[in-house]
Amino acid sequence: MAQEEVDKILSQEYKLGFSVDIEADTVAPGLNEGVLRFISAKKEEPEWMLDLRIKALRKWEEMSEPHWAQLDYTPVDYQSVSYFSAPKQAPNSLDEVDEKILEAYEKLGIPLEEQKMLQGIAIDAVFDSVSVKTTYSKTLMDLGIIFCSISEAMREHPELVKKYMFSVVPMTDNYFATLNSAVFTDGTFVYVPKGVRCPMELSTYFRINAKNTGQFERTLIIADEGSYVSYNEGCSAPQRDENQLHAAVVELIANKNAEIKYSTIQNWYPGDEKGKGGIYNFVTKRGLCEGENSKISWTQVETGSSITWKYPSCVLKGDNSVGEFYSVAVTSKAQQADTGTKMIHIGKNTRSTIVSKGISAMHGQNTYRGLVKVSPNASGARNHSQCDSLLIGPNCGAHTFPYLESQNSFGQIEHEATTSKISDEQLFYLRQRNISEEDAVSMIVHGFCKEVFTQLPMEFAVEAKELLNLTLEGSVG
Amino acid sequence: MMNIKNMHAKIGDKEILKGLDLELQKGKIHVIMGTNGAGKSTLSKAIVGHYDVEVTQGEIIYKGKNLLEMEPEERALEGVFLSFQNPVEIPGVNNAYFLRNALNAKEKHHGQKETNAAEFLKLMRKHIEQLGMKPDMISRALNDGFSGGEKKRNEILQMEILQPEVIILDEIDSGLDIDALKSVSEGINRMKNGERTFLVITHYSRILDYIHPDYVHILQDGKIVKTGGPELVKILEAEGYQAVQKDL
Amino acid sequence: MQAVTLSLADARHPLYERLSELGIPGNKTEQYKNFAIKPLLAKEYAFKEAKQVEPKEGSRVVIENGVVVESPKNVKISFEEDFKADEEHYDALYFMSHVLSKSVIRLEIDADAVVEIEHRISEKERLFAYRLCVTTPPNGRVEIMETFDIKESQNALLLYGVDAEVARDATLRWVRHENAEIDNAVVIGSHRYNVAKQGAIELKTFDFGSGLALHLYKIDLDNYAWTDAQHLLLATKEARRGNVVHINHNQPYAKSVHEARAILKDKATGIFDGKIMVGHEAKYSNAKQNSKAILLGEHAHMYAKPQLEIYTDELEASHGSTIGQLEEETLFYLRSRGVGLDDAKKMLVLAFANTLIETLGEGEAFDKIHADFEAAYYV
Repeated sequence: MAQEEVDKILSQEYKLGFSVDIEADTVAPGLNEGVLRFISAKKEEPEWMLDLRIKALRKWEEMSEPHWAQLDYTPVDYQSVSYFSAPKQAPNSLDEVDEKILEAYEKLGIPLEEQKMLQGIAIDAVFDSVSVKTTYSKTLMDLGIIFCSISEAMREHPELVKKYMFSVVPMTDNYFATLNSAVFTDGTFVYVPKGVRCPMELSTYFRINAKNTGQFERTLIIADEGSYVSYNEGCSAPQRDENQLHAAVVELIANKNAEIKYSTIQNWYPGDEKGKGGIYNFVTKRGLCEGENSKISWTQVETGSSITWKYPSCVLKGDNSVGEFYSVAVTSKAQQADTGTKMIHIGKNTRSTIVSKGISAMHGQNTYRGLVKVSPNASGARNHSQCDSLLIGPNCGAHTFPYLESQNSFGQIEHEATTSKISDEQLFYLRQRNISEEDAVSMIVHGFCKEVFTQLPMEFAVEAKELLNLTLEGSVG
Repeated sequence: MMNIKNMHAKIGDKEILKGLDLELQKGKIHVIMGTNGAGKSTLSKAIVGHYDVEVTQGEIIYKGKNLLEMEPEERALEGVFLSFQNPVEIPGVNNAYFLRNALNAKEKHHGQKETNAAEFLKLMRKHIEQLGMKPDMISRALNDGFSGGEKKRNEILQMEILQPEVIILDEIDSGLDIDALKSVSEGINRMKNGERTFLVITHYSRILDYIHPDYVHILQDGKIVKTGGPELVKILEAEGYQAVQKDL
Repeated sequence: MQAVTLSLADARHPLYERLSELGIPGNKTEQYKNFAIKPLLAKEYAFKEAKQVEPKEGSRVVIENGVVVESPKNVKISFEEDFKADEEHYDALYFMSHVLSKSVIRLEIDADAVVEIEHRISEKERLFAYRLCVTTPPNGRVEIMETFDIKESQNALLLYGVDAEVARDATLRWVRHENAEIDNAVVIGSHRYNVAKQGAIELKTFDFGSGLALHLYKIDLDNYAWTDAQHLLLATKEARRGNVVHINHNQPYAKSVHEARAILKDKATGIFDGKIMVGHEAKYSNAKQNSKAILLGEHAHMYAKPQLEIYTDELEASHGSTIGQLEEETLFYLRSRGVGLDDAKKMLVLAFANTLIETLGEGEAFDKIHADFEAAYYV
């Protein structure tokens, strides 16, 4: 198949690239204590939170941006970013939600309306900086499950927030996490009490809409002893000329016998062929398997952003705890992704699995970076990693940088990696069987990602497939 | 029904087909025999539009159109099917999923109702059983890790489900044991209906004990040098290609 | 390391710039992260430049405290003051050893020669810095056997390295056999092998013992050039040693096979940091990388970093890495046949190591390295 055609298929327009015209309350660009006070006041936060924010800002001012990743981008001017934007009318119920916002979500294929509720998915929608609507919270409340925005949690459940926030990702963990600690605007809070199995998928959609706005959400999920929760996160942003900043923090805590499944479909605007526009995505995600037999599983499908810097990790502290990381990362056009995971084995007989599938096309650069560490006390720890790269076209890059470290003579680490391309032979075979080039490319790519897609909840798997088709073939709406 | 006229084709810089003429009759079984390097596989690749082969001269008239001007999938949709000599492995792509897509594409092309998943599975199971294949053929990835025999049977399975009009079998008998050869031949014979045309490319006459050709063509040095009936096979068997050549 | 700092400031060497760009390696420098380089470089050493003399004829090349004292007939020794070093090298100590060496020791070797090079360090608490340069004749095959005699060298530091040019169609086999104990000099080698069209480098390294040593390689491959790099590491007691190897496929059809095996006893730390880079031009490359480590000691520590950096889609590349222990099942099988646990372990470790030792082929080198391995294993 001619390279231009493959490129054409791969460079389909960004479907979600529209912006919704809503009256927004946006703070002037720049970062200083005043902005923090403004955010804190807007969110009606308790005083202790503001103090923490200011502390984080002071620390951040002393730090410098990390550059060890295999990424090349124009530096971010942190003073030209606006750190808060909210729709003017703060909605309380679905009826009050601005029609245009609902319309925006519908364009995204995320109707907040009943049909979604009928599917049994509870949704929290974060539009620019505020949580617009959390559905289903009543039903969940009956089970004792708290599912609300993080601002609400600070007001309503300060003891939980105080106890767990910053406990997995310390306030000043890294440059971007520290920035987030200072300016985070909203995000989701989930608490599942002892022994409760959350009966539905919990879901949050993050959308950046306002211009020059950064989005800094903070998500905190706590699964108490013996509980289970599956949480899904989706992201999108309109097409802009300038790069926009996104720096989120996610903390997960799984207590004894608890399980958290966290799935992400990231489809921020990827920018154009030259890398212009698009989202800079600097995210810190970490889960702590605190109790024994606990389990945290990360699944991510990363198709958007011009820059992705993201390493969802597991700290396996409890004995017999399990960490999983399943990832598909697609870089096309001029996208760059440096993503992977860290599995830190601390407890005995802890196990981790890593499956990473990187797809590079056009001028995309895709890096897997991972760390598997077996600490001295983690006897019986086991890890298996499989990192595969698929290259499409001669101008892209695929890099694998695993870091394996064992300090325990009863631990076992295994890492395998392969690099392949879509062969002309495979494409021809499928074409000889009636299948068009586009479909053939997408069929092979899906086959390549299969192990990861099967980890996604059903509704999400369908969405992920469609998204991949969008990036990789011509079904443009 | 398919008329190949004065075809010249090369692979890389090397001219392999040097003015080949061949007319396939509707509903008939044509066999092409020839030594290694005579151009048998190049001919089959040229018909289906394989990227390795560059046709420099000539035409293939099929359904009133020049096949050479069509994309590979267009040729397939028009009913031209090649059973590959070495089917490629495509990891991760489910065999049933792939084949249903192929079938649906054809149905759509002909304005027919698309077979749904349940109907398709039923159909596929029936054929798998007929061919003596293992039931896990439905869930395995396309040709991935298949043995030689499994790959060949999978080609026949696809042929039976896609119901093509012109079937090219490239060395379908190579590397098959006698049981596999039998079930593959039965599959081919099931497809014979007086309408369908076969082009059987082979090196040995072994498979001709099971499928009975109407025409036999000898391919030498990029041209058809002799055409005859099944009796040609007997002569070849007894006296080899040398004898045929001497005859010329 | 005051002496060094002084002489660096004095130097007007063009490579000084690269050195200051890269900076003196510290604990955060990627290649040295697990080697704990900082205290080694912070120490005070006596340093003076080596004064070369006319070497006497011998059976091998002997470099004693930086001075070539012996050399065989088939090797021509010269000293080159303005050697053109590889300015692209990633390692600061490559430049530092160049800057510190007034001249580079050039070895011109006849085709089809087998040459032994012995490094001899016999002074304590000193810093030694020198560089070797080896060129193979075109089409020729040269075999080097590099050994170390550093028994009486407590608290000394040897910064050295090899710049090798493998000519077109030539083959260079470089075997490094390094036995070092904890009270021997610390050895840091920073090397560069440049392989011309259709040339081949066979790099085989054998590091045994409780000493501190790190070798950093940069291998550049031209069209159809080929490398077969193997490392066997047996680290005991509080050893910290290993290899950092960057292989660059710069042109089409380059091929590399890279294999590292490590056995770590006691509190030893093993390092394997391998990177194969396949450049945009290097289509039809073939790259295979594998690292296996066995931790025998309860406090042994392995760092493995098998990396692939790929900029073209026409290639075959794979890598694998494992860190683990001897297989329980195999051990049990041997024991059920009456073999004692220690013997069973030894048997399996030897088998693990032998895969690499055996590639030497029968001969003196094989016998010696095999014997040394067993001796080091039993310490």
